[in-house]
Amino acid sequence: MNDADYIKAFRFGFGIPLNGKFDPMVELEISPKANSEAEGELVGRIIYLGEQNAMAKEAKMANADNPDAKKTKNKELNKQVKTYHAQDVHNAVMAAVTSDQMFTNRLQAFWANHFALGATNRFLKATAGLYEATTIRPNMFGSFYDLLVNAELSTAMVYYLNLQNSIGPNSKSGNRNKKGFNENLGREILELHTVGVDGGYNQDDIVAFSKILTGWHVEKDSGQVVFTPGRAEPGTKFMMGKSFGGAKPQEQEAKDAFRFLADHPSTARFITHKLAVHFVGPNNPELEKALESEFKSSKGNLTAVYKVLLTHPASAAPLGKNMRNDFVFLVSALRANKIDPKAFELKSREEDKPPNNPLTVGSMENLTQKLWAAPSPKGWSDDSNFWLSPSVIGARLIRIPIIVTHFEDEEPAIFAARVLGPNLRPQTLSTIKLASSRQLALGLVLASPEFNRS
Amino acid sequence: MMNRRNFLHAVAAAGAYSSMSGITFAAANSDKRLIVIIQRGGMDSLDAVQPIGDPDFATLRPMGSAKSFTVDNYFAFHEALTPLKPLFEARELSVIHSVSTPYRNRSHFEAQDYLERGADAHDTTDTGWVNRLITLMGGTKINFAADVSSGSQLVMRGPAPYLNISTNNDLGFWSDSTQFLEMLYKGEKDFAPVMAGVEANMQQSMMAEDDQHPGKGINATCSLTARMLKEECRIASFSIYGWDTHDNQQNRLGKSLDALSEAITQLKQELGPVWANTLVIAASEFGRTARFNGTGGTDHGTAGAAFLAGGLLASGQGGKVINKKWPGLSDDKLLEARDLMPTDDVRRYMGWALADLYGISPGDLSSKIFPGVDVGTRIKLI
Repeated sequence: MNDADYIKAFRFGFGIPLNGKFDPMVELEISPKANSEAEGELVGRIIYLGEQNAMAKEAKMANADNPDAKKTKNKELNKQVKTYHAQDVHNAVMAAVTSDQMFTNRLQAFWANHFALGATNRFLKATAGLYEATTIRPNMFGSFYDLLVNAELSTAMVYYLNLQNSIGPNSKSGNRNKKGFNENLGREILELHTVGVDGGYNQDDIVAFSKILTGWHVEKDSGQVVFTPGRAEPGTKFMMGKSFGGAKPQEQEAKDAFRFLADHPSTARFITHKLAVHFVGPNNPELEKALESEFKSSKGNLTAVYKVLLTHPASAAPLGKNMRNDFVFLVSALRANKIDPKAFELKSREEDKPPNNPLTVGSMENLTQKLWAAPSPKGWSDDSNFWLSPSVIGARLIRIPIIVTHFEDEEPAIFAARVLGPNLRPQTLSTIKLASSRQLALGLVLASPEFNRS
Repeated sequence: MMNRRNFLHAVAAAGAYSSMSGITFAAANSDKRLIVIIQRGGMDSLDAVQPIGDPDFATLRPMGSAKSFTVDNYFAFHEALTPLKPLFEARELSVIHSVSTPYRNRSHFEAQDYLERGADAHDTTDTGWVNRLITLMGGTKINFAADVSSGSQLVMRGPAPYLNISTNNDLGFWSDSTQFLEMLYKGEKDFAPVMAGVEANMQQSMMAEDDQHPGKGINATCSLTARMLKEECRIASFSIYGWDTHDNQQNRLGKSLDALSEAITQLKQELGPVWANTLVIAASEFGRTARFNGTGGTDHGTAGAAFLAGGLLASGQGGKVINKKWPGLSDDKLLEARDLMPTDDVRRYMGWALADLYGISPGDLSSKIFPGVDVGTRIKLI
């Protein structure tokens, strides 16, 4: 690998490729297809959770004098959900660790964080991992519009940002049950997913958009997000100077609004700025301009935008402007050297416990960045200052010995040169040469500033 | 691997404790403690401390949630704040109601910026007001102030030194090898300062086994905070999440208020005699809509409430709901007919608290801590 290859592999991948070759442009030709297996699993889990909740309620009613009946059911259900979650985290980390398609997996992590989830309850914990596989991955090489519609009208997002019970107050269901809407999803789509906080909307636009979104919800029997006209607010709504909908609620109304937002110039600026900062770093006005103009002229064709990102001169500039986030750090560390597949087994240590693996699940639980559990819908930060805190670095230092103990034996200086390439600092090399053990020396490579940056 | 006591013994014997990390045990300027809790997500102040005496409240909130103790028959605390009743009665707790920052656009993230950066206008400087306070107080030791979080909070960020420490800090593997990490990071503009913080965490982790609540979660955070404040630390900050109750508020808000009650009562208990010298400020980025929305929750609003706690309040404004003027809840009194109307800038109260705590002058408050904020006439809180 030459210097340019290292820059590309750190900036758009997880460091050195497993087979010695990394060509992100080729990945654009083989965009992932819909994952019917994950889709089936997702539907199955939603139906299962619905049934189990109903059974828990029944158990409580049938055993009014036995409060333990519900408790037992809940305990069982919690264990099942923790098992789902552990499996999903393990699979997500392993997919990124073992795949040659590093750019595809980086993009998946980027978009999953753009349309971030905070899996705080049972339903979200059980579905968040499959959201990434079914909603994000198959849609991130097409148009931004398609990705947007699929993300917002996914089971996980509908639950996370509270669209599930949001109902038009003048709809049939709203009139009958005296129910209404909330502003959560509407506001966050505008502020965080499309036009951005300065994108040109006000409180009235948030209310209008929130009404436009009513009608969409997860149908528990089928596990699908569906549109039910009897829950949707009738009438014309005005959002950001444009009218949507009419007397009769229709499926098309929300889609028209998504189309309007996907095509909005503020969205082009907001999304391309975020891509540039995430992959290349802050303060790249020429790159941002080129991306923005491609986003506009291609009508949000994401593959066309990625091509500009990969080939722009700014993307070949020396590394070091960004900090790797925890996920990229972990996957890069687990790819840095050969690890016995047995160390990657997911298993329960005790029969009663959900399965675990210290390298994958254990790491994601103990690093600052938790998968699908961002502290807010804004997702995890792309600001290097956030990842440069002692708490974040301290958590990485705790994981490092757990990882390097599974590494295949390799001369530390050779390992450092192979993993860090032209970025290896003389200071790192001289430090590892003094290290009192091989394990410590390998650990110092993973702890080095150049391994933690991109 | 070296255990905690051996490690402490070894560094003490070698006289290396301070030289290896830049930490000394020099006394801080003040023995008063400040704890800043950021309640992220926007707390519904009208549910936490309910204005039951306002005739419009029952109309706005017909399904009012369960109440605990009341104040002047006008305000009732939410049931989940019951554990704070003894503190309120001992004048160690107060609420500042219907306050906000000047921010009006209801974004969590911009609103938190106003609260944490502290500046009057929206700006993008990456320093928080606590960090500027440390500078003003002449805090030069890393363990003078602590950001107790697994990431880092903007309110603490800036050039003045402070600890960034999480409860997840078992760095045993490295405790014998810190000199290699120092060598690795020496002179590196970002990693060298981070390393000083990591080493301080390492030392704290050596003592964590004695904490009342080791592990993770709010209890562990409070144990760690209390332990540090009993030592050299004077200022600490952490966050409590889960306030963004757009739906099902009845079930969700209680859990977050439980965490707040738990945090304050645990801090008092674990700080012991130090509690008498402590002020806790807990504030959220905004309040929520006066009316319930259609999904049993509330949307982003404007004026909210902040909590003050600590032994220092007992000789001041403890045991009160502090309120410049109750703004009213009828449609014409609400902001844009939806939000509780702010009657004051919450940072004015925080500022005057700092004046009393640490002798910060009004000029410095308005120019350095909360630039551009008119702190106005003196408010005596403690």
